[in-house]
Amino acid sequence: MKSIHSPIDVDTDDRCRPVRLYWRSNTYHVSRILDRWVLQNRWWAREEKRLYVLVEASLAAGEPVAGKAVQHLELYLKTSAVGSGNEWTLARVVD
Amino acid sequence: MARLSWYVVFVHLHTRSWFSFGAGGSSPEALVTRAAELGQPALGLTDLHGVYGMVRFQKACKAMGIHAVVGSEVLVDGSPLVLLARSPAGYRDLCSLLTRAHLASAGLQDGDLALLGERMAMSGARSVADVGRLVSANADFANPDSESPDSSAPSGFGPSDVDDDPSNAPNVGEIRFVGSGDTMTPLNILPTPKRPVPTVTLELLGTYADDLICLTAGRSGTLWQLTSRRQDTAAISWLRTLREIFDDSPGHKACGRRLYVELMHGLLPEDGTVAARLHHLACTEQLPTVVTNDVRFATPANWRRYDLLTCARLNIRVSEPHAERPRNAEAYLKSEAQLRHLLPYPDAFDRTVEIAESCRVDLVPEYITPPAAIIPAGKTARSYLTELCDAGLQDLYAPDQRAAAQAQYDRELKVITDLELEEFFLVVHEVVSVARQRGIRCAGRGSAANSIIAFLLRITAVDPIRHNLLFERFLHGERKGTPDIDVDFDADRRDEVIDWMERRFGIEQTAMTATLITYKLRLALRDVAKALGWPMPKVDALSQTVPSGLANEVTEYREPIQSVLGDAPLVDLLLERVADLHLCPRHLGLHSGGMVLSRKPLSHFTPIQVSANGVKMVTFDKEDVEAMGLVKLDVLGLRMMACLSEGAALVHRHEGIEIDFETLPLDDPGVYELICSGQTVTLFQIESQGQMHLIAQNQPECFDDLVAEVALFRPGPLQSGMIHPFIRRRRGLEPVVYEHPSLEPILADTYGVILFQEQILDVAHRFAGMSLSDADDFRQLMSKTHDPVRMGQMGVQFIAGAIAKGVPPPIAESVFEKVSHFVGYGFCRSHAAAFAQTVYHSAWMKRYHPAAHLAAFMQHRPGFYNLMTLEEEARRFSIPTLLPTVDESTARYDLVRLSDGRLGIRKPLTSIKGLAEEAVEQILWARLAGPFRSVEDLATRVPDLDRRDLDALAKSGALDTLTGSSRRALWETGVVANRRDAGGDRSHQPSLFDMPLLMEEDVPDLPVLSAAERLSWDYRSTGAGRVHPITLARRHLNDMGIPTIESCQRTMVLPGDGTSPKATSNDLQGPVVTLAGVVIMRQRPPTAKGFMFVTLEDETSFIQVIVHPKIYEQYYELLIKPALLFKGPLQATGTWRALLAKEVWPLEGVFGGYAGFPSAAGHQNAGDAGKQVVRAGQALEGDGSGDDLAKIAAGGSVFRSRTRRTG
Repeated sequence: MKSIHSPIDVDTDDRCRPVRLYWRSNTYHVSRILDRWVLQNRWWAREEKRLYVLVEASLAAGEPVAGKAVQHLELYLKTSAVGSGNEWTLARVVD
Repeated sequence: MARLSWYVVFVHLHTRSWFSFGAGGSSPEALVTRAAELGQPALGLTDLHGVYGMVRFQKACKAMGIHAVVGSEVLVDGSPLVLLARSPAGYRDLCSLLTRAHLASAGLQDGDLALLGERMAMSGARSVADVGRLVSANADFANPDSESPDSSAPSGFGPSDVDDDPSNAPNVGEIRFVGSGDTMTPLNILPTPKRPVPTVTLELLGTYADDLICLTAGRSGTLWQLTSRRQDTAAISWLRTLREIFDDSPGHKACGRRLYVELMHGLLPEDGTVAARLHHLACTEQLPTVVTNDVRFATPANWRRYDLLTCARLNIRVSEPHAERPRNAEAYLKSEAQLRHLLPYPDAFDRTVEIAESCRVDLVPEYITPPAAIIPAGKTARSYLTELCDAGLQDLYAPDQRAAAQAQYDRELKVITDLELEEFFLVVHEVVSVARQRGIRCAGRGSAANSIIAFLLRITAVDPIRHNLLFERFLHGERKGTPDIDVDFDADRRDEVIDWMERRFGIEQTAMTATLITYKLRLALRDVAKALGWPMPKVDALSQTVPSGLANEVTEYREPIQSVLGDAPLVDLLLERVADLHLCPRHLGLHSGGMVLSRKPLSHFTPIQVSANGVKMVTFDKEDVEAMGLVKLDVLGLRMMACLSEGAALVHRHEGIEIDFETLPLDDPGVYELICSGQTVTLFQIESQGQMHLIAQNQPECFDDLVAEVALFRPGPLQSGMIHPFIRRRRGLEPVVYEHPSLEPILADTYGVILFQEQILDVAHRFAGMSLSDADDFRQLMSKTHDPVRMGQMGVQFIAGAIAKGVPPPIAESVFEKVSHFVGYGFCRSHAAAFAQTVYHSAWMKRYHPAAHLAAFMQHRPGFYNLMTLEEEARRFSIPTLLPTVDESTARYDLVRLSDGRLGIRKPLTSIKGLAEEAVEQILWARLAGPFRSVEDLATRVPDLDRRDLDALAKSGALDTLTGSSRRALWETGVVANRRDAGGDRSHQPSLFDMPLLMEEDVPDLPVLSAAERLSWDYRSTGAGRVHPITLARRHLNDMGIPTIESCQRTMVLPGDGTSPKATSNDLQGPVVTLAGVVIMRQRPPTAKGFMFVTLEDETSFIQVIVHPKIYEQYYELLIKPALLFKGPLQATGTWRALLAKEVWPLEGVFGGYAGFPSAAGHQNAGDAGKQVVRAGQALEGDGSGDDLAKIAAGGSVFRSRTRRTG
């Protein structure tokens, strides 16, 4: 598990599900959504809810990256950003 | 329940409300409302470790037309399971399981419940741990083979055997007291940090599982945990273990499926995966699945409240992570669609409906279950009740009064019969009869005093015909639930009554009611501030800035709160969260006197828990108990009742006079003269300064006046401004007017003002045309609720009803305005009348037997003045209070015939601080063999008196008759104790060859105690001095022209000052005076708008000092001092005086001004040869803090003697 916490561009479908990811000059095609969850901890700091998604993705060109055909990537979106465009964050890459 | 609608395929079965006490975030009503909004026709409530909210839940479900499913989340061998009751039998089994879980948590076993019938107070136990020791000690004692070292008696059960360190007693919970004045009772707090979590074993579950349905619980459940860790083998094993218990195979005595695998998805990582694995597991094991959301709150908006409550329960800050804290806000009551989106298992949804339909338990019946009365053979309850009442009618009413009484009696009997309450009245009659047979003084009060049947049965002593009392306030055909009867018993003997009731009605059929403690302002502020991370000093300071009040009033105190916290960014959040805790339960406590009596075992209705001080209690409060159709009798201990009983006993013993309070005429002018003189210290209900002021204005002359006096000084009349109109009209100073003629018959005897709760009910019924039931609800609303919405709704109904009866709208609105101002508690007339009887009796005792009355009062201390004030009051009545003495004192205050024929009060040995109770017993036993001749004789004959005991006796003056002085006594006890204990064997009987423990040459010449030292020793020993502390300052005060308080009251008669009965009731202002004294009380009531009231006492009397808010601010730091000078104009009303403070000084300035802190005896410097306290064999006794005198005021004031001790 590698912690990243970096903004990432994401294309979503009409149900706000990621379909393509753009990161470090690469385009990833999301083949399936493995899991999703919601975290909402620091309410006293007025922190927003985060919607998390764990996706299985591969490079759009079909080429493996670092020897891996697919990768599991954990993304999250703050609730204020829902429906407003690209404010996704890449949280972790699951090795 | 009709079948659920066909298009509904889901019901929430696993939910917690805030009755999980810190583990649930919404009220049961909020959950029900949410379910109704979602169109779900049923809902299950499964609070943690209990069914505390179940009655409210069922009532809410009935109101919303929703089917209620009853259950609980129970720990089984440490693993939570959701158990749902299928039937009343299943509910009974669930209650039994929960009872056993809580017993186990308290360290008790099933059979120990019977032993808890023993009153812990009588056995000296202070904790459940003590009960545990008692249980084992008794078991050992009963077992001849036990290895108990002392087989002659149960051991390990005196206070000396109790571990006094609460941190070492595993089962001691916090003990707090509630009540005030006469009825103070220890509460327990459940659960306590030190008690293990309630849990049962699998084996026990098996015993009670026949009519229960089991869900495997959500994320916290063992099955979920094992499955998430992929421990499938263990998970299967667990499932199979459960299946053996909830066997649903054909031929098993319990039919139908009873074990379901719970599937949930709380939108946390891997929830979907785990749910899928669970579903697979269930299919493999051929077990049905069911969908839940493991609900912890009704809507997402309640999530923060839930997290905060969790933090408060765990005693952590919000910044600290914890496994039990929610990681998101998804555990709310979701819609079926939301859950289907997450959990694609259609069958599991169907089963929720199947389960809901199979569970049918109704806790809120439309009937009452009274306890079983003893009815003579050949009679029915009704015929026996009639027989007793007929006899009462003959005894209590003269022939010319019987017609009216009979008519009322017939009317009441019909209502009682229609409501099937005959046995209830017979039971209460039996309880009071048995108490009286045992010589235990008792009296019914409250709304029951409105009933002539209660009067005829001698339950109450108030004649409702004579006092024009309203039966409907107590009972009427439309009333829901059981009537409320309170009975006051002699506080000293109340436990005997409870013991008897448990034996008579059955251990399993009796228990005390609980009381629900909800978050109020101070506690909410503390818990929220702590959770938000403020340090404890700030938290403590915060709770001092607000009065007691409602949590949702917190924003009114923003400024003082900000003055403590500064401009912290979290202040807004703090206020928001505190307000959000309004009405939220915090914990369950023990009701001070409510005892539930049932003809069936209480486990049919409720789990039983055990308080930290070993009292059995149901897990519902009195409202819920009533809703369940159970009968509750309030068995209250009234210390004034004990005082009257003891006073009568003293009179009988010393004067040979038998007093029968029941037959005392209530019109003795001497009694009213005493009351009107303002000498009301020690009189029930009327000894406060406020009451003295009221009496000075009202001047009660007869019993009805006394009833009004008692009722006037309550929040209801106070806040509605009824007092002055009442007094002025009664005194003929203004005319009596009625806004509408229909109000005259209701308010005539209270001069047109609303004084009693019955009048609210009567006005609502007769003036506004409400039904009796609605009028009763209206009355309760006016008395208890501050809900503006409900009051607004009631107002609309009230005004509309009055208009419909022909009342002009402006008058209807005006009357409602007056009624609505009767906010806060007011007495009902019958209650005021019952209390007024006790007022009268206490006044009668003080008037005719003051010594006995004051001695009994000192013994039981039912009032709020300290011992010093009581002894001063005795002195004012020419009754000396004599020191305790080892020769004559017993364990109780007693009377002594003096040489001049007067009666004096002898203080008991138990009044000596530091003298153990056992020591007192031993002295009394040893004295039976003859008086003590010397200190040595005492120490030898009572060898268990240790050094501390002997010193305490010496310093109190109890040995003065043996030694001539306390200082010499202290020297002698030191020498004797040292030599006796050095001998090694205290019980050694002296022989001819033994040297005496004390010889004359052992005692040097010792200086006499100074007045200040004597005062100091007296206060430390017995809480009061032989002289008043101000006596020591009197010369200096005289030099400064400061008069005594009594002379000020006596000689400063102001022109037209109102001493004439016909004078104005307005307070008059008199000349400016300066008075000095000890502060014996400080009050700053929330209703007083910032005024403080100080009671100042000197050696002659006491006076109320009124401190305006501006003066309070100016002299705040001085006003907390124990002895003060006040200057200001006198205020007079009749014989009552007060001083309006304009300037304040500390009293110690009287003794030499500002050159340090000189002693009261005039010594200025540390080098002065002050008086010495010399003890044999020991260094000088130091009192490092300089706090030489014991606390003398209820508020903890200390009068500082400045005697320096040099050693």
